[in-house]
Amino acid sequence: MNPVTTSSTTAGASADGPARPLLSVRDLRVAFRSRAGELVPAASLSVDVPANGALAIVGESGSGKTVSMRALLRLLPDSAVVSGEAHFEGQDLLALSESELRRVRGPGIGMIFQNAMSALNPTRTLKVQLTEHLRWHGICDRKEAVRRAVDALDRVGIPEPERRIRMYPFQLSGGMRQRAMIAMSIVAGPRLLIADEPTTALDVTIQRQVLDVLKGLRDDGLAVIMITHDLGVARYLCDDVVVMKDGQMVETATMDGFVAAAEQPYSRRLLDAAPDVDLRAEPSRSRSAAKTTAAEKTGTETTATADDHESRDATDDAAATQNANRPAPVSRKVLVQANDLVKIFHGRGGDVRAVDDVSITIGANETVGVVGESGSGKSTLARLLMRLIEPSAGAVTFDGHDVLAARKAELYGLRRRIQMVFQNPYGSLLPHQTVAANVIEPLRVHKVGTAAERRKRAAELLELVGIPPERASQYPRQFSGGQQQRIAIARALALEPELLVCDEPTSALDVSIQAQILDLLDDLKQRLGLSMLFITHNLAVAQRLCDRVIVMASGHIVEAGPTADIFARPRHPYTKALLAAVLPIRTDPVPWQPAAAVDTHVGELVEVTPRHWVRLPQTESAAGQRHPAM
Amino acid sequence: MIGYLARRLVRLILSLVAVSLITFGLLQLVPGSFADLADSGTSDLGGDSATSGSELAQRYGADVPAWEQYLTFMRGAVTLDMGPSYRYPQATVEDLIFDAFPVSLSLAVPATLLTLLIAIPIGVLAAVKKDKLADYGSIFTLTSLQALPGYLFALLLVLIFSVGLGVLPVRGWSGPEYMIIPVVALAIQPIAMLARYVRTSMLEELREEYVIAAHAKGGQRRTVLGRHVLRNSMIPLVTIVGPIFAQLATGTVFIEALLGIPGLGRLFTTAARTRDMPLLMGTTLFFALVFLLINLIVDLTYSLLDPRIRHEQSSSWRRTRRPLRLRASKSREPGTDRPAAPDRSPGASDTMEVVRP
Repeated sequence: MNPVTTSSTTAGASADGPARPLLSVRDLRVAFRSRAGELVPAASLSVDVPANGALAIVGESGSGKTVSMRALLRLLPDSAVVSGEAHFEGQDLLALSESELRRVRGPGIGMIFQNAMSALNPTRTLKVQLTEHLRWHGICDRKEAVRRAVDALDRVGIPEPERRIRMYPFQLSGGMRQRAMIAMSIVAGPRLLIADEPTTALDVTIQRQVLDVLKGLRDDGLAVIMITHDLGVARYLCDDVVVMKDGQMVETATMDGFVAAAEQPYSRRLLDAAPDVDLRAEPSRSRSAAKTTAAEKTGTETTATADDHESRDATDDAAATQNANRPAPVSRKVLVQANDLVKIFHGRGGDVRAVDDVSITIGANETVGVVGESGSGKSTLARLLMRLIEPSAGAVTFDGHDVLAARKAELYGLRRRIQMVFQNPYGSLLPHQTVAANVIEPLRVHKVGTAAERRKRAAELLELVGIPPERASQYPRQFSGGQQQRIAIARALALEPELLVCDEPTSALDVSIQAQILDLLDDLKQRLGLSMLFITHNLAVAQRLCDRVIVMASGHIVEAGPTADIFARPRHPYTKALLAAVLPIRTDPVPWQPAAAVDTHVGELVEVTPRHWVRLPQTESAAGQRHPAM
Repeated sequence: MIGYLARRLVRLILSLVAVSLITFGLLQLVPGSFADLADSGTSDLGGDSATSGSELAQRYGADVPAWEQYLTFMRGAVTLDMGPSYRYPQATVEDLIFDAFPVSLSLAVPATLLTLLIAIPIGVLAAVKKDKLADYGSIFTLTSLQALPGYLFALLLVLIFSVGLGVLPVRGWSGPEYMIIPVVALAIQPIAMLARYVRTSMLEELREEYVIAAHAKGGQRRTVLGRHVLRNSMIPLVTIVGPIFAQLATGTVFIEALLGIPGLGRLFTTAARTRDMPLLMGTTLFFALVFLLINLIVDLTYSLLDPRIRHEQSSSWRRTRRPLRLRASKSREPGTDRPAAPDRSPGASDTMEVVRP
């Protein structure tokens, strides 16, 4: 395959002669020697990266992205066999002696890893880890090294670097840790950074902050190779893209050209499958709004134009909202109703209000998305609704039954009607039981049917989620991640529940698999009339699947409303910040600043437009009442 | 930290009380109280029974109820006056223990050092050369040695060095040269155990990503191993070296008996053989104390070595953050007239009124 020499015109740098690329990889081939002595090919790659260029390597897990990059610096285990050439500033990295190569690692090429928690030694301070290689390479003495390390921490945006440099990695927050690791890789002054999924484990707002740090480093003249599966991230940071699949290069292109017109079918599939947030979407264009009737829209407009709200008395108001909320095709029988839920965890460092005064309803055949960053209380809320943990205060009813007051038998009966799908499919399946046994496990627990009936049901269920029935006697580990999640969904459906609680069901999966699972859930929802509580940190996924979205922050609901409203007209500063931090693939990202000042605790939830609730401070809420369509 | 220490000490004392109760209870079940032994003549009770017998009878005689015997002994244990032993009526129990303990200690300290000195390099070598000859060879040898009981190994050493070559004394305890065979024999099983542990611990750390990160910074293999991997894999070793040392320091029955060393092990076996209640109680309590103290030291050392545990115990930066959140959420309350409508659910809009201030 012809390596594409990338045009660095977009980068706007390399005025001093772009003739020779900074890194030129030719015919890199990596294979692993198996125990039997055979060579198993893992990756092959040819790319060029100009000085100050930025290349994204995208692909799904197992496509050889990480392996090929680690092969460049010969960081793979002894069983790896690497051939080809990789010229970096005139030296062939693959032909250098061990000690010559060491002089490139660090001062020449820096590496950033996905998980800073594991890439930083937990028992050494940042000071040790940021300065040790400066002295290994003889760059400067200890004192100067500490000064440079403090500078590097400052450069990646860590406040109070003099104090933080004495800390251990676990004392920093996730985003801070990631930045500290970036500081570690740039402190020796490399010309090229290899970033291996540096933001995958982070929340969107933190991701944006970290990416902005990397962007700043590019402005300072560093070249970046970014390994990612997230096309939005790739688009945000990089000029060029290489698509890899099964260890092979599929396509190389400029980023803009790739998004506009990818040539290879696989690239197009990848683009189509990638969840992409559409922030310009008007309610009428969005799928959930498409379902709603004209009646609702009229209702919205009526409310919007009703300046004189004093004239509307309570009955009118109720009628209006009722009208808006009872569109003809969707029945709005309330299935789950939770009021004023509070969950306080008593920890060493004091009490934590994981869920604070949260009220939600889920209607029949409705999909409610709960979005928020990690630690916002999403999962705790789901567990409270199912009474998997006892709330500290509040009430939950399911189809009229008081879930919290239910005694053993009643609770048992209620739990049949609520089932759960978890994030990690393999962890949630019993590994030593066949897939069929896993799927009918709930039937066994609830003593439904005879053995023969259960077997038949297992086959039906597996077929429903697209697993060939002849594979029913295999074990979970023999299936891929996506298939395992299908099996977990089949199990959740075994008891024909009315409510499916999905806790990040796709975040452990590759994008194309994720798309398939979302399609499956959508299809099941239509066919079986399921209600769904869908917990996700991925806003694009929520936009795709949910009728209504609830935004949570530190245990509170900050905003809730129809999906289209939330995405097109977010009202709360936190929601706005969250949405702005998302990196779309096809549209340009919204300018963004860290929303550190947003206080998610103050105010009351106020209905600004029908069914669109926002937590506004008291003063604003009064204004909001007078101008509901503000 | 002080609170933690206080809690640990209370638990330690409770454990000691439990140990003493169990031991005493078991001894009551065993035939042969002091009265029985006294009746059967003084042959088992060494020394001059006439003079000290009265004191023993006063403490443990047939007419003294068991609970009083127990309390008397425990009072003695606390005030370091445990009274005479049945077998050695002239010596008090604490004297006997304090005579024997230094002997056991002078075996335990060198044996533990020897263990560390040999096991760590072997373990590191095996881990670094994983799946190579050095790994297989050392692990095979160690496993075989671990299967060989220490006293057999001691006999082997005696056969070679004392009987065969005649360079070392056969048994006894009257000079430094008498220490060599027991120390080596005592160390052999801990070496095997520890080396395998070091290997596992090293391999675990070697799999961590920070090792790759350190190499990516340009570290030499040796530097990365020493500064990061070895250091981290040594931390869990404290938990195993502590008990090894405690085990050795409280005497080893077989080796001491075999080589005629007047240590705690021999004292304990003698006490057990002669059903010497005070001495058994004394030694058992002393063993328990040594084990518990070493466990405490191990835990404290652990938190010194591992910053994660140290900061979990006295986390300063975490604690200040959380209460802020609580106060912030409360700030909603003063907002005067909170609407009476209990259902502020964002979705429960069917019959909901818009909240009006």
